[in-house]
Amino acid sequence: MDSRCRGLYYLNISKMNRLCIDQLSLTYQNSVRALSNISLDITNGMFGLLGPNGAGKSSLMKTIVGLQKPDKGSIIFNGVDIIKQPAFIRKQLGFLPQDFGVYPKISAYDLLQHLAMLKGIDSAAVRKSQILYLLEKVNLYHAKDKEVNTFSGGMKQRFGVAQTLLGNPQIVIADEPTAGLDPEERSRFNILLSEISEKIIVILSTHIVEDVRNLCPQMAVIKDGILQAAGSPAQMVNTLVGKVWTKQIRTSELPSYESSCKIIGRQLIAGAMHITVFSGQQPEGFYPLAPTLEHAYFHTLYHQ
Amino acid sequence: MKAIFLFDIKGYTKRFTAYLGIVCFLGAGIFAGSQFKLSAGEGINFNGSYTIGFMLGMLSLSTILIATVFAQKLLFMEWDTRFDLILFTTPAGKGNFASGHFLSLLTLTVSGFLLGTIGFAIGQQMRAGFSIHFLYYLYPFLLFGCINSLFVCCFLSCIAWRTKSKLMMAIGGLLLYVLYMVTLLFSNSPLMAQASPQSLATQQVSALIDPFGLSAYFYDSRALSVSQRNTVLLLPWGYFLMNRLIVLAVSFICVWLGYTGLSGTGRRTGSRPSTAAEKSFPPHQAPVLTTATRYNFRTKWQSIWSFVKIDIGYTYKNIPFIASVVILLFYTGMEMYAVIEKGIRLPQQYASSGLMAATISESFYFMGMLLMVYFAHDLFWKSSNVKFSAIENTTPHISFRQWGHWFSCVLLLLCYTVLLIALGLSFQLAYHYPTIDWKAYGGVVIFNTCPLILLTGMLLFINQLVPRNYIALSVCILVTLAMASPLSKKIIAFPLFRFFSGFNGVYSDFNGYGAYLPSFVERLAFGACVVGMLWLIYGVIKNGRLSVVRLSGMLALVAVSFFSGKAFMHGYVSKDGRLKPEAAARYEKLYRKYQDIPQPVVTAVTSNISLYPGKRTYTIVGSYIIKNFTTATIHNLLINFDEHLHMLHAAYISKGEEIQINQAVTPLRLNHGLQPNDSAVIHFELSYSWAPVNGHQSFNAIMENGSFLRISRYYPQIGYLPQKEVTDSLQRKEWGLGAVTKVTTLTAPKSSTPDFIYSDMLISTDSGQTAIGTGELIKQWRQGNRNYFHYKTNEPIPFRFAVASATYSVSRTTYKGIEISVYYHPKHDENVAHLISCAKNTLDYCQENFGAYPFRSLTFSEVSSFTSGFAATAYPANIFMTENMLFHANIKADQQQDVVNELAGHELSHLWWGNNQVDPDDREGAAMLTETLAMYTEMMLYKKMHGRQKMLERVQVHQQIYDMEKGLSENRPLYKVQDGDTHISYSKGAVVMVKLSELIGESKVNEALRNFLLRNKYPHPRPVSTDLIDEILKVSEDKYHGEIKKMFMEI
Repeated sequence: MDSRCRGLYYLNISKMNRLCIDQLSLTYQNSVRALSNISLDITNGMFGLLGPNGAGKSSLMKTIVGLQKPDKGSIIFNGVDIIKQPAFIRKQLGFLPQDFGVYPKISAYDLLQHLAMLKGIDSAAVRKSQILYLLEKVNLYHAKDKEVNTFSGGMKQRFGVAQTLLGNPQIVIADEPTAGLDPEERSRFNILLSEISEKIIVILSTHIVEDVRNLCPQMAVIKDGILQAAGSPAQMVNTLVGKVWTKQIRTSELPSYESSCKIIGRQLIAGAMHITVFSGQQPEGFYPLAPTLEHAYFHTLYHQ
Repeated sequence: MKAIFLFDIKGYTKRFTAYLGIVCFLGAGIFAGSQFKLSAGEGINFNGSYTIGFMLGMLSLSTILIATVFAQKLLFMEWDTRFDLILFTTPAGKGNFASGHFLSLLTLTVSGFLLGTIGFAIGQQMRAGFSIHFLYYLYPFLLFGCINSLFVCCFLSCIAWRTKSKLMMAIGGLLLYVLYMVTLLFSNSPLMAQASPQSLATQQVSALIDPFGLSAYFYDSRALSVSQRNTVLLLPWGYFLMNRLIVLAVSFICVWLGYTGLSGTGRRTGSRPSTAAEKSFPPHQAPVLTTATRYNFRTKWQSIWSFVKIDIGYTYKNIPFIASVVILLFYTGMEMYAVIEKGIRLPQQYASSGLMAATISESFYFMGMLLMVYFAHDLFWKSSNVKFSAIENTTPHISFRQWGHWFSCVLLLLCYTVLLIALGLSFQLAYHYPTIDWKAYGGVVIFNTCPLILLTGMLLFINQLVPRNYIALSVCILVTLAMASPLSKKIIAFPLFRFFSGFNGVYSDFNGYGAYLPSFVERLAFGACVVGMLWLIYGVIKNGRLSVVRLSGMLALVAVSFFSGKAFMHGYVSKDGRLKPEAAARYEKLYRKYQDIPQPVVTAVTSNISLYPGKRTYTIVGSYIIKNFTTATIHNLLINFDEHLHMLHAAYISKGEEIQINQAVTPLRLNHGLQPNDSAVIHFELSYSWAPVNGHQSFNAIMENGSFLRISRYYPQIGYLPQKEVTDSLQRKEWGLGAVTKVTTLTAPKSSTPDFIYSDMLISTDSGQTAIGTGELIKQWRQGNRNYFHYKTNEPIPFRFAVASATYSVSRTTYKGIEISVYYHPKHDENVAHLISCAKNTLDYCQENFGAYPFRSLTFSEVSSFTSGFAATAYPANIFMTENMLFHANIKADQQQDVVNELAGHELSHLWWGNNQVDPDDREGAAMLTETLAMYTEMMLYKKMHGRQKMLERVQVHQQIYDMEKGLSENRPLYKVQDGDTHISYSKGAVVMVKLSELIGESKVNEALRNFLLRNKYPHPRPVSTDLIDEILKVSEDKYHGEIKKMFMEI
């Protein structure tokens, strides 16, 4: 895999970033197996990582950025083994962790200055320009002199987004970036990510299937540290065409349907329970339904 | 409450770490019990009731640490786990919550101290093998351990509940410790002898407010005798009782204050920013979404500087830094005040730069060490504590973070240093001594700041290495205590490896810090290489490769450490604690028989002493004339050379034979016995030098400037030397030795051997220095690059002579045919004229009342403070004074103690009394004929100059000193005083003699003293104390005899 990744990269060196993850496994000290033989090949553009809580998404991201070492497997970024040389990816990385804090009593501008210096932006004028522009981009310009520890959850998250873009990242890894953002900010953020992802890799982990559908040309589903599926959202949806059915039921009937059908969705509409099932044949009393990415996601999680 | 209490206790006892904690507490106690050898006084057993009491009292300070550690979790549990919102909405009110946690904290603290006490008892028993006195341990455990634990827990709970800040609580704990140290300064504690004695009123206040009760313990136990101190438990009565009650009351007030200030969910949150736009993005600003990054030296340095800015902004705005500054300045300020003001005995000291710098060094290093443990840990872990590390650690320049933290700590230490030096300068200005010696303050940086900077490098390394926050803190504390604290001397035997330690030596105006400064720098360089090497090795392991730069760095460090370590260890002599008693035991076993074999005595000494102060070395070429004054032929001779001197050559030469002497202790078998009244010669050539790694000997202090040597102590000695004997009873038993040689009793037959000598001494020293010898200066000249001084005694003197050498200013006058000279440091001229005036008064008084002055000249010479143990000492025609005690003191300040008058009166009068014109027989009561008589003369001269009332005030001070110390060793009547009982020979002696002069009149006392001198001075047989009492009785009326005998012969 290593040589393949390297070879391909050299061929496309002038236009494409590439991250190859091969047979990656990680077990924590408490014997919890966080990742098991994960293999992914990611190039420029947005890559969505879907999975339930505890699936291993954050573990995978922390391993890519070098915060923890895997037990086995390799991660090659632009031809360099970044497990052996984590400094290589750090020079080209923007990382937004899922849950982060900040130093108390330091303004947003000063903290970004600090991170900009750590990222190697040597010119004071350029640093200032980029910081101000990014603050404007994430709608925090007005609060640049406020202490970040006094920010609301959404503001802090936007600050986190701004810092990922400092410098000239070739890969941005964002773990649940839109958590805590209101719809307007979420939309603004998605547009920003979309804008930058044309030339770089953006890996996005989220619970929100809709975001992946809207933003990511490629995606993967992880569960219990195991890669369940990978591909484009459209491909995953296409596999369900003609196999998704829905029906309104009484809530008390749900257990019997759960035991007899492969339920891939349940929804309350005006107080009435509607279930969606996966089946090669139309079950009795069910109506056909156009599959969505959410259906594909749940189908992958629970019935593959 | 019960549920919370049980939950807390179970939380601690069900863990593996609980057993580890038990082992640690027991281990620490055993270590203290078996290793701590603090002695309150001679004859007071380390496992007696008094010593156990104050040791456990001192150890009860550990409850601050124990309680602070437990409280960090217990008192903040709900807020730390964010469980507060749930807990405080349950029916368990804040009363139950508070009392439950408080009870848990108290239980765990008392249990910790109990384990320590049990360990301490085990350690003491291991050391002594005596049967255990259960009550001796239980009693202080209750009175100190339990009450102090309660106080500490209440105090910490109060701060914790009111501020909800762990930092404030930890600072509160530190404040308690400082408060204790300050009260101890004014408590007359045996542990703070340099600040003693304090006035009674000061001691009483100290006894009442000391939060740990030790001052009250010392105050109430001052009247106990030695035997009582070994067996009697000090009942809580008087000040001790009041102190304990006050502490209990304050404890309850604290806990009540804390309880009333407790609110459930009082976590402060920052103010929310306004969402309204304050400023808009400038329209002219070019949009920069991405920008190039670089990774060169400039960006690396920018990263380091960025960390420094973040650290400094974070640290300087926070309470711990401000609190640490306040505590450091307050504590050091109190120390400075104490060393300047001294007690009631000594006058105010000049606030010289050296005194201030030495005082800073005494307190700064230890506190700085603890502060650096805190700050290094805090700075390192703050990123992960606030959950910012995931972002920071994925940046390319994160590897320079540690450099940033280290530079921040360096700035922090420099800030402390500057503040402390500014404090010293403020004291200098406030006490009107504005002569600033920057070299002295430079020592503060070298001896404190530099090793602390090095220690910080090590602490950051430990934090880097240990993956868990609190484990890292624990390891840092352990390493610091083991390698940097005073404990390091116990733990690390090899001095080179104690490179994290500070330096607590003196600063002398004569020669600064002397050779200790370059030596310290050499060790520091070695330490820097070790720490640097650890970092480099870590880097190699982490990166998995050895770069050329790292390899070169390693080789350079190895080279520097080799040369600096070698330079530091030059001349090192191992101090194996067992070797000395072993050698002493061997000496006693082999040669004690010489106590009963007649030996010749020295009658004349010729010496050629070459001093090389610049090289800290000297040589002696000398010869003795020895004579057999016994009636038997001497065939066996024992000659002892001092083990610290290097014997170049020595020989016994008589008419019939010449025997070479090769060993430090040589028993000579004479083929041609030394006949009665026959003489022989012993020729010897010796050299001596010392290395800073071993330290200097106080009375053999050959220094760059201000040297002083009681050199006769290092000359060869003839016969068996009982002072070499092992005195520790356990060691004597171990080595199979019998009873120790007893001090000769008063009633033993007198010695009439004429053992005074004639001394002829040629001293040479470095250019620019003046050498002071013993006797009269006959001639002085300069030859080549050296100065020569020829001293000779025209009258026989006891075998006691000394030498000094320094660059001096001199003041001379001739008074009634006697040339009086004062040799002093050029900056110490304040009291010279007064000293000469006092010397004239003393000469007048002594010549008028006791007899003629026996020499043609009188010389006072100041010597460096590297010599300690006396304020002044008298030798024939020469009196030597240390620079830091009396001669250079501000006698015109505050209480106007005219110690210069005391010095002149006391020391000069020694030239009439022992050991000059009379040389008391070495037995019980000898010191009464030396120091007591000198104290009497001192008091009479004080009366003459300042009046009776002022003199009585000084006597009162001596009464207080005697009262304070009489219980710390076996109390003896004055006429049986022994050498070490200075509180009897000096202080009680002064009280008794003044009382006598009030009883029978000063003239009668002087008449008795004159008669005593006439009948007992050399060559009369050596006098004993009863000879003086007999003379006093002879001149006094019968009605006073009973009272006189009582004063001298009863306790």
